[in-house]
Amino acid sequence: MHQRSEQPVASKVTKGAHSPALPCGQAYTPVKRPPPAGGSQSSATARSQACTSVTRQPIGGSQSPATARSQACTADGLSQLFADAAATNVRKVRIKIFDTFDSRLKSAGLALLASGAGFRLIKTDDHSTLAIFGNASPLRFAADIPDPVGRSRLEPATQMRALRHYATVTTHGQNLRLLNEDGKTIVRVFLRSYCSVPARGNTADELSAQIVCTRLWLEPVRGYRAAARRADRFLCSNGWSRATLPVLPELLDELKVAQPPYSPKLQLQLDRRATADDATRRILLRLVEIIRVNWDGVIRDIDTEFLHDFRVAIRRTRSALSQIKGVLPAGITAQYKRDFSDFGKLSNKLRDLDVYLLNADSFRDMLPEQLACDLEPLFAYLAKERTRELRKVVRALHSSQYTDMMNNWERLLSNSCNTDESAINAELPVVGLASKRIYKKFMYILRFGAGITDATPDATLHELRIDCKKLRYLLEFFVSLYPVEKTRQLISQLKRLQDNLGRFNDLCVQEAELLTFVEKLPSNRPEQRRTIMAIGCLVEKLDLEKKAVRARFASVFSVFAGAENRALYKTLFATGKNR
Amino acid sequence: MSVVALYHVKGGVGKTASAVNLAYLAAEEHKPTLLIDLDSQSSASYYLRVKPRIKAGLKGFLRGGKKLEQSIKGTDYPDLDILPADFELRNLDIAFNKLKHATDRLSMILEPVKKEYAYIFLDCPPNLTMVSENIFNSVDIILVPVVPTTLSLRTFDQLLSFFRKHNYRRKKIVPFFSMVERRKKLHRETMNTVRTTYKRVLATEIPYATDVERMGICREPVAAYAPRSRAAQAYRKLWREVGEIVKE
Ligand SMILES: Nc1ncnc2c1ncn2[C@@H]1O[C@H](COP(=O)(O)OP(=O)(O)O)[C@@H](O)[C@H]1O
Ligand SMILES: [Mg+2]
Repeated sequence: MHQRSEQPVASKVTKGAHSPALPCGQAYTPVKRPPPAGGSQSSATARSQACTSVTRQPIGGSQSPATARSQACTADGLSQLFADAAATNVRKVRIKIFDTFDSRLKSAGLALLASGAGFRLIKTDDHSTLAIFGNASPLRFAADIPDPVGRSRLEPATQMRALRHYATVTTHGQNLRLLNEDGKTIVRVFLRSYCSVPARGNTADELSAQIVCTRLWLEPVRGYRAAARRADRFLCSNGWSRATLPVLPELLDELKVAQPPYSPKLQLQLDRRATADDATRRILLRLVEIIRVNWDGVIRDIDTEFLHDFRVAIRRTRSALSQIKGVLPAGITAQYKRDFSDFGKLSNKLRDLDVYLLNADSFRDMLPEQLACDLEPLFAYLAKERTRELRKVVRALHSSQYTDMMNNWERLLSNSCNTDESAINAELPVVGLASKRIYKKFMYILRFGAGITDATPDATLHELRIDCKKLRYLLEFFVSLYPVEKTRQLISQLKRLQDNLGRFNDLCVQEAELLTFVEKLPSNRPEQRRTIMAIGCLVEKLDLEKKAVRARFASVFSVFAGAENRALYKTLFATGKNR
Repeated sequence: MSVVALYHVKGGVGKTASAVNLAYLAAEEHKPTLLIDLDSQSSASYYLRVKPRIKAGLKGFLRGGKKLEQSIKGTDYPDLDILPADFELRNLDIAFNKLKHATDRLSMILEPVKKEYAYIFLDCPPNLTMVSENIFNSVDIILVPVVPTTLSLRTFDQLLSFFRKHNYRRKKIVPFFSMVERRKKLHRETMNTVRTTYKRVLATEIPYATDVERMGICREPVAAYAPRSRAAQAYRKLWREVGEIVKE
C-alpha cells in the first residue's frame, strides 16, 4: 500500500549536499562492546554482536558471525526493532574509495569515492560534496582530471602521487517509517551498513564482506516530537548510542585498520635502555620494510614517489651502517654497505630524470613565453630516456641478486646471534651511542661550515650537504629517545640548512646536466636551434638562482651555528667528557 | 511562492481530491508544500492520516503565528506538510465577521507561514461566505473544479457574477472539469459550450474514476497508491498546467 511513499525519500536523499545517499537527522552507531575476557574475539565480531542484540537475536547462539552481521542490515533486522513500521530496502550501492599510497587525501580531510560512472570528492567532516566528475580514462594523476573543479581540489592535495583504488565498500540499507495507530508516519529511520569488499573480486564476497561501519539516523517528522524522543530513548537503551563521529571519517578509519596506512617515516619507539644491537636491528628492519613496501610501486611505475622512498630507505640503511659503528660485525657491515650502494646507484639516473620531468612546469615557467614550448623536444628526449632507465631498474629489482640480498639481509637482522668480537658497542645502551654519534656529527658540521667562505669551491658545499644529511638521518633514527618538542626544533633548524644546501646542489647538477643534454638531443631538425636557445636561457636562469642560493648560505648557516642551537645539542647529546 | 485555493460554491465536486493530489505532486518535485484543510469536515486531514485538531482550536487558528505553526504536521511524504482542520472551524465564518478587517484575516494568518513553503494549497469549504471572501483575498489562483452538468455550471456562473459585483479580480478564477464521464453526451456537450464561451478553462479534465473514490479506503493520494492510473495521470497533467500558470 505504501510502496510509492518511499520513492520521494530515496530521491530526496540522493540529491543535494548529502551524498551519496546520506540521510539526515540524528545519527546513531551500535555500541561497541569490549570482547569478553579471555576471548580472542575480533572487534568485528564484537560489533556484530552489538547489532544482533539490537535485532533481538540470541547472542552467541548457534548463529555464525557472518549471518549475524548480515542480519543487522536486512529487512528483518530493523523491523524487529520497531513493531509498527513500514520498511523498504535501499538499493545496494558499490563504492570504490581512492587515495594516494600515503593517504594524502585522508590527511587533507577528503574522500574520493566512485560509484557507477562518476567520481565524487567529499569533505569528510561534514560530508559536503566538493566536486563531481566523470573520467573517461582510468584515474591516475589528479593533474589529468578533465574537470577543472575536481582537478583544482585534488592536485594540491596529491601532488606527484598517483590516486589508487584501495578499497571497495558496499552500502546496504533500509528506510523505515514508524507508524501510529492511523498508519501515519511519525518518525523516519534510515539504516546504512558499510561492508568492506575483499580486494580480489570473488562472487562469494557477500559472505566474506564485513560490516565495517553502521549508522542509523532518526529523522523526526514535524509535529511528532514526542515520538522522536521515544524512538531516541528506545535506541539508546537497545545497543545504540548517538554517533559523535561523522560516518565517512569513521568508515575510512575502519578501512585503514584492515589495511595499515603507509608512511615513509621510521615511526619507531625505541627504549632508552635497549642495547645498541637491538635498536640498530629494529631500525634496519623497519628500513627493510619500507624498501619492500615500495618495491611494487617502483616496478609498476605507479608514481615517482615509490622510487624516491625506496632510495631514501636504501640511503638511510647505508648511513646507519656507516655511522652506527661497532654494533654489527665489521665484515657484514662492509659487505652490505657495498651492496646497498650498488643498488642505490643503479637508480640514480632514473631519479634524476624523474626530477626533471616533475619540474617540467617550473622550467617552462622560467622561460620567456616565446621559448617555453621549445623545451618540449628536451622533455620528449628525457621521457624516452626515462623509459629506458626504468626498464633497467625493473630488471635489477626482479633479479635473484636483489631478492637474495634482501632476504639474506632480513634474515641476518632478525637473528640476533649474528654478532662477533668486532661488534664492540653491541651491548652498550643505545642512548649513549646515539648521543655520542649525533654530537660528534654536529660539532664536525660546525667546524666544517665555519670554514666556508664565498671563495670556497662548490664541491666543498656538497660535502657539507652530505654531512648534514647524515646528521639528519641520525636524528631521525634515534628521535624517539629524546623529548619530542626539542628534537622537532632541532630537525626543523637542520632542515632549513639542508634546504639551502640541497637546492644549491640541485641547481649545480641541473645546470651541468642540461648542457650535456644539448649534445645528446637529435640534431637533424631546424627547430633544434630554438631548443638549444631555450636550454641556454634556462641554464642562465638556474645560474642566477644558484648564485642567490649560495649567497644566502652564510646567514642560514650562522643561524644553525647560533648559540641557541648549540646549547640545545649540548643539553641533549653531550656526554660527560664533551661537556 | 504561490497560494492556490481549490474552491467551489458547491460541495462534492472534487475540491478535496484535487487539493490532496496536487499538493502531493508539488512536494514530489522537492518543493516544500503545505496543504491547509479549511473544511471542518476535515476530509483532507483524513486522507493524509492526520487527526483533525488545531492547538487551541478556532482561537488558535484566528491568533495565527507560532502557536498555529505548531499545529502543522509532517505527512507520510517528504516535503508535504498539512495544517489539519478542526471541528471548530465550522464557526470560522461567524468569527471572521466579528473582527475588524473581516475579509483580510486569512491573508494575515497566512503571511508568516509563506516563507517556509514554495506552495500552499487551500482545501476550501463550499458556500459563498465571509470565509470565501477571505480566500479570494489571500490566494494567487482559485482553481474551480466544475462538473460538466447544468447545476454545477449555474453555481459557477453565480461565482463569476459575485466577483463582478464585488470587484474581485476575475482573472484569479481558473476552472477545470472534474468527475468527467466522457461517455455521457451531456458532459461532452456542456464542456464544448463552456470552452467556447469561457476561454480560461484548463485543458485537463479529471475523469470520473473509482480509483479516486478509493482514496477514502487507502488514505493516500491516488498519485501515491496508483501512480499509473488514469486519474493519477490526469492530476499530474493538471499539476503541470497549474504549475505553468503559477510560475507566470
Ligand atoms: N474524479 C473523481 N472520480 C470519482 N469520484 C470522485 C472524483 N473526485 C472526487 N470523487 C469522489 O466524490 C466525493 C466528493 O469529492 P471531494 O473531493 O470530497 O469533493 P469536495 O471536496 O468538492 O466536496 C468523494 O467521495 C470523492 O471520493
Ligand atoms: Mg471537501
